[in-house]
Amino acid sequence: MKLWHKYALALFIAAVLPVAVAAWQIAGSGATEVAESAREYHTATADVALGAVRALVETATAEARTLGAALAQPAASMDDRLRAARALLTGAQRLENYVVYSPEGELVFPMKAAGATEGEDTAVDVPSPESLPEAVRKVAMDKGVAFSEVITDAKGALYLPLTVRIPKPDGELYAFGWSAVPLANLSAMVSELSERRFGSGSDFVSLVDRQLRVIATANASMLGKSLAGTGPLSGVNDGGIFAKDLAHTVEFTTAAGEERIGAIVPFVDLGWGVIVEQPRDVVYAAVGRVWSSALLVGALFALAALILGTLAGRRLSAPIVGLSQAAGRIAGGDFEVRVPVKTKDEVGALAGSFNSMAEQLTDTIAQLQETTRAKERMQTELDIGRDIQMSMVPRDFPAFPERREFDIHAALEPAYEVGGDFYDFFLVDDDTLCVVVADVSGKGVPAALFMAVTRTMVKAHASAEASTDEILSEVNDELAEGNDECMFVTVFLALVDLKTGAMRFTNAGHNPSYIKRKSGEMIRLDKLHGPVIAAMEDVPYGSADVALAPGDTLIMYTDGVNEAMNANKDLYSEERLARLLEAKQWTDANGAVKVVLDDVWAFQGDADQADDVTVVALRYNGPVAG
Amino acid sequence: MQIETQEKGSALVVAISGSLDTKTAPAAETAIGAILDQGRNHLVVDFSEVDYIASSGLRVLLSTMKRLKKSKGKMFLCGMNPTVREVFDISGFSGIFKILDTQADALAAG
Repeated sequence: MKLWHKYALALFIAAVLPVAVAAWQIAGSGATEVAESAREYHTATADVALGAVRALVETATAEARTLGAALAQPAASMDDRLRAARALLTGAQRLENYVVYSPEGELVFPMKAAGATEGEDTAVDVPSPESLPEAVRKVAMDKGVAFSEVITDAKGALYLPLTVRIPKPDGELYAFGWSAVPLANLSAMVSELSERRFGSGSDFVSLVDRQLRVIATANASMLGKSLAGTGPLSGVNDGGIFAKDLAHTVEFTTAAGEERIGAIVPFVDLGWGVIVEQPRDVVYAAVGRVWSSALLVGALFALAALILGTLAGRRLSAPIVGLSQAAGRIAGGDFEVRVPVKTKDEVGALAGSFNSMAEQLTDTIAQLQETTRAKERMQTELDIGRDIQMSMVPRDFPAFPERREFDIHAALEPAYEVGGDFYDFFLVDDDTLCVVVADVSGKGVPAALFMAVTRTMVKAHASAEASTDEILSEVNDELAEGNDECMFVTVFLALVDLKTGAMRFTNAGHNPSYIKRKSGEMIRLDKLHGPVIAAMEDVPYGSADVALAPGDTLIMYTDGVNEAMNANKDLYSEERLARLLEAKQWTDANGAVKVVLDDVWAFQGDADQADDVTVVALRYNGPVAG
Repeated sequence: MQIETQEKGSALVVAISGSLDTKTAPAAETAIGAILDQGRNHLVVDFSEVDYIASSGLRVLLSTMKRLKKSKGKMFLCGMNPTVREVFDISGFSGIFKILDTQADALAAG
């Protein structure tokens, strides 16, 4: 995942999450509110219907009383009273018929509206009772009016029978008036109401009586049918729920599978109920709309967050991506790369640090390259010097296989950096051996060349007649002249008479050599006969003589031996060398050299070799007979 | 390796400390060369703080002495510990340089 993806995602989440939560809450409370307002709407609709029903019943009751009062006028004749009553019936808003019963409940006469003939008075369109039951009369006596169960005529029209008490002017009971109030108007009313409140073609308002029969609905086919246990009245089997003035909300699923919600509001006076219901979808469409709006707003926010997040993420990560790319280029070897410092924040600081790092890196690399070049130059020079050095010293052994008077062996192990050791041996004449062991100060090509010059001069001046001090004096004067580099050479020079074993030698600033007698006796040739050569002109040199007996060994070396170091920086030391030579035995020159080298390497261990190590051994065997 | 100088009368005391070996010799040569370039003609080189000297160190002294010889100058060495002194002895440089035990002796000799 790239950095700007993370930035963008973070911003996206930060922006969208609150919006999503808000939308969810809005939609949630919206659903509650919608349910609440739907309930209120349903109840209010039911109240309108109830108001209409109440008005109808009250109007009918009032008309029935007025009509009864006209019949009970004591001053007028019976004909006048009937005429007045008929006129009232004709003008009545709700009443269509009227039947009079005696106080005992026996039928007195039915009457019809004015205009009808006398004889037709006996025919009432609705079935009126033969006599009024005492229960009905009792209610009418107590309350002034009694309502009976809804009845149906031959055509199926519905009527509400009511019974009123007709008092005389003095308050005594005169008779009972009975009328079946047509309810057809109620269906028109609920139909109109349903349409007004819920839109055309809807039948969402209905009126049921105590027996749960539909007594008013826009759907004529439902009239008179019982709703007990079905639809909105699922679980309801009698009109008991209409006895209390308590509205109910209902939720149910129709046989067709449609979910509907609504309210049932009782009309306690009659034990009737108004049912208002409608499809759930329609109600919650509003909630859906809220949801849709929330989703739309949320989506817009999300889109904006995504765009802003992408822009901000790219903008934020751009310098870091730049740094990353620049670092990659540096890693690839492009040290010239720099990043722009645009801001003063952490990223800017990082860019600044990066640039100074690149700067330092450039310098360091430049220095490193320079150093490497210099080192390579020096190394090349050292290598050339070492090549000259090693090409100069005799390395084929045995060196004089035909000579049995002596045996000579030498080893030179050059150090990595420092060192100007050399050795040489040659016969100056048939019976005289010249041996040189030397150490040139300095290193590389100049030291090697100086070494070559020294060796050549020694060879040129060596003769059986010359003494070793004379040879070195001449070599010294020649070398010292014009030696601006101030190089110098420590030299041990010996001339050995192979017939007698007589040896003359000069030590010019060199390490003392040793003689190990055949007897095991050790002799340290410790006297110094002059300073190093090539340092100063006109320096006097001395010499000494020693006699070699058959079986004696002369051991010469350079300071690489006694100054060899181990890992603890301890020096090998001349004392250790002396003890070694005294303790060990060998049978030829090669063996003597090996004894010394083995011990030096064992001592040095893993430590670096600091200086050239040279060991030369000469074993004198004595003159050859004849 | 460090080099400090101090005026003492007509002499300039050059006090060397540390090791005078292949690695430090070039720096010593440069430092002493600069002193000679100033026309100093009378040097007392104090070895009290020198713990080791190699042949490359000897070469620096030799070259210094040769330059002083040309300008009729003089150089005294002093304060060597036994190890350092041994190097001078073994190489025979003891016979070439004027070596004294103490700085006071060296200043008095000049």
